[in-house]
Amino acid sequence: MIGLFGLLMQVGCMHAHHLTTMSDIHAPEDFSQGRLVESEANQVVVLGLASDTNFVVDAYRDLGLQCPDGTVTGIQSRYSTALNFMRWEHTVRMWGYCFD
Amino acid sequence: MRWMVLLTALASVGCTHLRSFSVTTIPEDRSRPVEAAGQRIVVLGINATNDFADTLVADLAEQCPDGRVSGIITRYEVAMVVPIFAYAHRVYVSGHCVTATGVGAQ
Amino acid sequence: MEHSAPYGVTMSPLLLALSTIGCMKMHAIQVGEIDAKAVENGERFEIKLSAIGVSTEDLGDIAEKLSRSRESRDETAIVSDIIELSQLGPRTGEPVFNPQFADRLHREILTRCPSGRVTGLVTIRETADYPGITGEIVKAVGYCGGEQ
Repeated sequence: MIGLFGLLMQVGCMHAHHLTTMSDIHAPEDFSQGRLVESEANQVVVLGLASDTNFVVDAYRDLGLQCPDGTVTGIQSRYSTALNFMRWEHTVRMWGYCFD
Repeated sequence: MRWMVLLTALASVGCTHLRSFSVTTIPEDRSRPVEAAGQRIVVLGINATNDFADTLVADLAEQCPDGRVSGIITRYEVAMVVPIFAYAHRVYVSGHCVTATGVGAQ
Repeated sequence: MEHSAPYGVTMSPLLLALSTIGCMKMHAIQVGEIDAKAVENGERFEIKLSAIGVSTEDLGDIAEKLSRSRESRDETAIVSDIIELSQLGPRTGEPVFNPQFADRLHREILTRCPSGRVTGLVTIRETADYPGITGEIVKAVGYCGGEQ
């Protein structure tokens, strides 16, 4: 039984796609001058116990850190959850265009 | 008694779930962060209004009277307060105050 | 009883047809800034990206109903429960195999609007419900031609 539970803990190939959003697009110059930047943040939740949702702010801040002296616009965000046995992992992934 | 202790322990750790979020363009000037938050405790799922989120824009504007709030991330989460009976619905908004003459102003 | 037979004959094809249409559910919507002139004069575009979602609960129910014996029904129920337990977590719509199906949305938008002058961008997360499976959809509608 322990072996079965252990096996089930490893099984997980399904994901819940919660949302995909796009921010406004305000390029300060010609859009071809922008470079793609991306970031990702995760949160593992066991038995539903999670104290906060700050991981999404981390992803947004990390995106900005890759363009420290510029503007990041046209930001696409994806929020999904990898489902599993008694635990799941939230993922927030962001892409944006940096104009230095 | 054991179940009460277990439930209290679980509630203290927290069961917080991110429901949705949105972001806007990140400005160049990020020297003045601003933030606001609103919360409503919903008991037994009975919620008459969501007006707790209505004051957020005014709260942010108050912190940035001479400029424009940009680089806004808005997130909506639900946290367990009392297992099964009460949940806290929270909206957090944070951004950067960019003045009209600032480098990052758009 | 005599009335049920004609209804049975006429309703079945109707139900079958209705089941193929599906039921649409909206989960989230976001509306961006709007440049009214660009909406009026610009070019509208629409992008739909989707993946098949699997309702293991529905498929388990169908498998149970198709089981011939009580024993196989019980076994099917156990397997179905185990599969459900191995996919715990918050859900929006039904689970998909690939959560990255909409990751190319920003590229698709820029393909439609290379200048990047997009306005009135609406992003919708929705589900098309069918028996046993769903279509998990991200839709984006916008107008190309706004001001920088």
